[in-house]
Amino acid sequence: MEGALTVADERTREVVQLLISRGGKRLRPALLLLSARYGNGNEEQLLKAAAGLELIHVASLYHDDVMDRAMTRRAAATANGSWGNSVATMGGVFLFAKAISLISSLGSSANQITGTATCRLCAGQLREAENAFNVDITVDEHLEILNLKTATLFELPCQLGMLLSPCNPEQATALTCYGNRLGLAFQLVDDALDWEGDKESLGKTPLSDIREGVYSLPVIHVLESSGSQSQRLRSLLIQRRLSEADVLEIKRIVHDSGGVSVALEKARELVMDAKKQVSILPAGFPLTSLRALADFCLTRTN
Amino acid sequence: MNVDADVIIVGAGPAGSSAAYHLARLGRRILLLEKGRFPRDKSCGDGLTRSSVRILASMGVLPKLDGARKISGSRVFMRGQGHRDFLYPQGLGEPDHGLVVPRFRLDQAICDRAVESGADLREKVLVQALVYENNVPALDVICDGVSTRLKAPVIVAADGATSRLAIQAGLADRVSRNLGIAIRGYYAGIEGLQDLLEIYMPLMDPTDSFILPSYGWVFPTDRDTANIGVGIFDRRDGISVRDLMDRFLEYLQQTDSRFRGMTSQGAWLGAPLNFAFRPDRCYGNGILLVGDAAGLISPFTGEGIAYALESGQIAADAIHRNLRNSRVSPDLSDYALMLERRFLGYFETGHQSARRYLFLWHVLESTFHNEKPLFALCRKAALYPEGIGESNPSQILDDVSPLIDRGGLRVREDLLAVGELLIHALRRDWPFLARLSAAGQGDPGVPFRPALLLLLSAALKPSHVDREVLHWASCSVELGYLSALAHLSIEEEAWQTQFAEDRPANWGTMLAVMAGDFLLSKAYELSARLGGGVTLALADAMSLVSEGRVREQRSAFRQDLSEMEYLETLTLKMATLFELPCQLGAQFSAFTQEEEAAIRLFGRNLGLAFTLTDQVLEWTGKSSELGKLMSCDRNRGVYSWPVLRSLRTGGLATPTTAILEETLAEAGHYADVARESLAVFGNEPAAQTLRRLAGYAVDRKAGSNPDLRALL
Repeated sequence: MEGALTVADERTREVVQLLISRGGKRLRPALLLLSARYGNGNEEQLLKAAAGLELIHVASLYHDDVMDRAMTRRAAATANGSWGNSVATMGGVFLFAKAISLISSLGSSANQITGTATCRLCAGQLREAENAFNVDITVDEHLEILNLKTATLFELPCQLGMLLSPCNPEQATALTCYGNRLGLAFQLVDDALDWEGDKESLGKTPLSDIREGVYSLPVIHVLESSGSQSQRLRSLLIQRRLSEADVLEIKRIVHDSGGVSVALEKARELVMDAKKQVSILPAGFPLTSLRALADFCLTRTN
Repeated sequence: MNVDADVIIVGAGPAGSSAAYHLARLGRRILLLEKGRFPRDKSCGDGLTRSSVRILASMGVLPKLDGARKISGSRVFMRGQGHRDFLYPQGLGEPDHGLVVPRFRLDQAICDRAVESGADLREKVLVQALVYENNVPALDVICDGVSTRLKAPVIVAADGATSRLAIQAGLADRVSRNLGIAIRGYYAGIEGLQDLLEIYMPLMDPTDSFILPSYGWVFPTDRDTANIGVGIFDRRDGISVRDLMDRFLEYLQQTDSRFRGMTSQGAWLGAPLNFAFRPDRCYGNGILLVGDAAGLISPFTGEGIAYALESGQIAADAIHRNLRNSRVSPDLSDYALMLERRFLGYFETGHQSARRYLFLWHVLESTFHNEKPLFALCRKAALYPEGIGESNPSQILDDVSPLIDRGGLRVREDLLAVGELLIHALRRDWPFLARLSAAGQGDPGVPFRPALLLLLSAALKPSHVDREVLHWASCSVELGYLSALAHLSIEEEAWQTQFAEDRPANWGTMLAVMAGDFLLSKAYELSARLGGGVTLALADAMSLVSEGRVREQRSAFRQDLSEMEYLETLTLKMATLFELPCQLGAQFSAFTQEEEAAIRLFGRNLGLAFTLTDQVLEWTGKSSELGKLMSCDRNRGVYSWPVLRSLRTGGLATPTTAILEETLAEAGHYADVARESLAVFGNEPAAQTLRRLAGYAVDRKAGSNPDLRALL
């Protein structure tokens, strides 16, 4: 990755290396390299693909931070927090361009599935924005959006890993399904975590999301159920300005109606399913890691 | 089996009468059924856009509307943010105005015209049921108290927003979630009305706590009288449209002295609004839906008459073309295709449409005073009464057709094909963007755009590549540029100083980021189909452009930049954009290494010449639209070359004439280098054309009378 981000101009380098240098979970490269263990791929190509995927992910973080107006990430200033929206956006474009430059050398299929995946990712983001303030959105529609927006970038590493390091088709399908379930579970847990904590105090993320009309599964679950709680929540959400008392009431309703636990239960099911999918793979280190990765997704709840 | 007509049309409103008129003129036997008796009234804003007036003129209806109030455009009020005018440009042919005509008068005028042309009008006819006999449709009707059955191979349902025929034909759900509602009244005693359609958006709910997807209007019917009304797109629990109307009238009287003394003229009249347009559900076995019945209403301004008239005409064409035998219902599927093509992106298809409008509403509201390209385009597409790209040519790109060599270059055809591909690439996922990218597609001439450079470069040498591949590559490059244009629209915010609760939502930035990302991904996806080499060229160019823009922003307010540093940044962010299409053109034709280097050198220097010239023209007030979009932002410390020069030599931020002339001379130098780099290509028509474009980059002379016929 550092190789791809070598730029002579110091001020540009500072911008584009900002988040990469801070580390991160590197989940997508890990998934790719694990998926490649079932075949016999070329090491250098796999590394290129892994770096490309992480760069796409990091590019999306630059842009997410601009849209969310996030000033910090991983306990330090974001690119937009440091240099403003334009610089952060162009920094993200730079990373994306470098990513596809790496992937373009991996053959036509790899290049094409990555192209399709990035379009799905963007379509998911647009769909989410379109549904802002949609109190009629269903759980199914919401999951479909998460499928595009988040799960795509978990499926893609598995697909690329297997493409560059071919294994048998059953194993390939199992790994792709695994990636999909894992991605969904990660997002659901992330969204549910926002609602954790003392229900009498204001959290931070759900508040701004709710003000901007972006609803996650805990909220949508309550909205979709019938009854007075759902009605009340609806009338609170569509207001133009939410007072602190409104937000606290929303939080209480979502908790009392079981929205958060439903979301976590759904994540647990997905993790179970993910592990079941890969159970056809031969025992060994990669399988153990894939299972551990799935479990890791749930342990973050505490 | 005997039939009663070639076509039976149910409903003699604008859509039905338009279909009747056009079919009668084509020699078809028409039965036009109307449940009321003329003259009769309808709830409507009564506003006729210029498109409507033009269609009415072509139908010969205009003389019947003599004396109606003329309109020169629309004025949109955005709550709490003042207003903006969208005026019809003058000098683009007659009629150049809109009209306000009460439906009481309009509907009769159009219907009379249909009857004059040969349509058989039956009034006071109640349609009971749609039935089929041997697969041919028929209608059970009550006419003068007598039940009877009328048969024809084609039925046109022009029976309005709550079309019963659409439901009976299985083309609409019994309870449509997409129905809105509008209500209007006539008012007198209003002072100072101008010849503008006034639109007020959005309105608030009665408790003033949330925004409703709604709008109000004031359309002048005469000097001091107006049709005033409100429409709501999405019915909400506990919201009464009459309450909304009350509040709108109160708002007008309290905030605008023109309305203080107005008096009501008669009762209010309400009507449902149908936005549920879906091309695949606009036709069935022997039946077509037109106008309101087809859900053809603008979700932004509530406009429906132009679409009613036009869909009537399109339906007439489709029926006439396919109807051969009066005993067999024709295949009407091309009606759907024609509607989709015509209204793409303005009326969206599919179940997400209603949601998408809300998102765009938020964007429109929060970027109402923002002049960045993406928002200006969105605003125009949504609020300009005719929508974008309709008899309102986009003037963003200069027409350079006089510069194109006539020796066998087919660039206009090729560019049209590229435009079609652009629309095709975007329509499924995000039709509104397709609409934006289609802006100007209908213009005559040859726009100066990246695809042109790619096509001309490829034409320098014999190419064995399929033209379609060239079109796809051009499309990919243009998507990349559209993406850059969207990302350019991102605003900085003063948000550090504000509390999160008080911050207005940043819908504009969100749209700019997401649209830019989506377009870039599409560019990538298309390039990937053409091979890794195309992707690599695109990726390298995009990384250079973004590096240039990061460097530019991070050097803001620096006056000590050396000439070399400045030109390096300018080359990265601007010249790269001109070089990429040249490079790709070379990749697809049999270029030697030396030739590829030459054409890339041409592209780079052309870009520098063009950009520096724009930086000079900025001071003469004559820079190109494209130049304005890409221009430097002095207030944010991003200087143009003449400004930086002036500042560096201790001068003011306004460069002297001497500095401007020097800059122009430099631009001329780059144009010379560009021309000279083409020496290896001899005097091929494409080479000659490219040389002329290099001259145009500096002198901006493309002739005022493009000879289009020579190009085709």
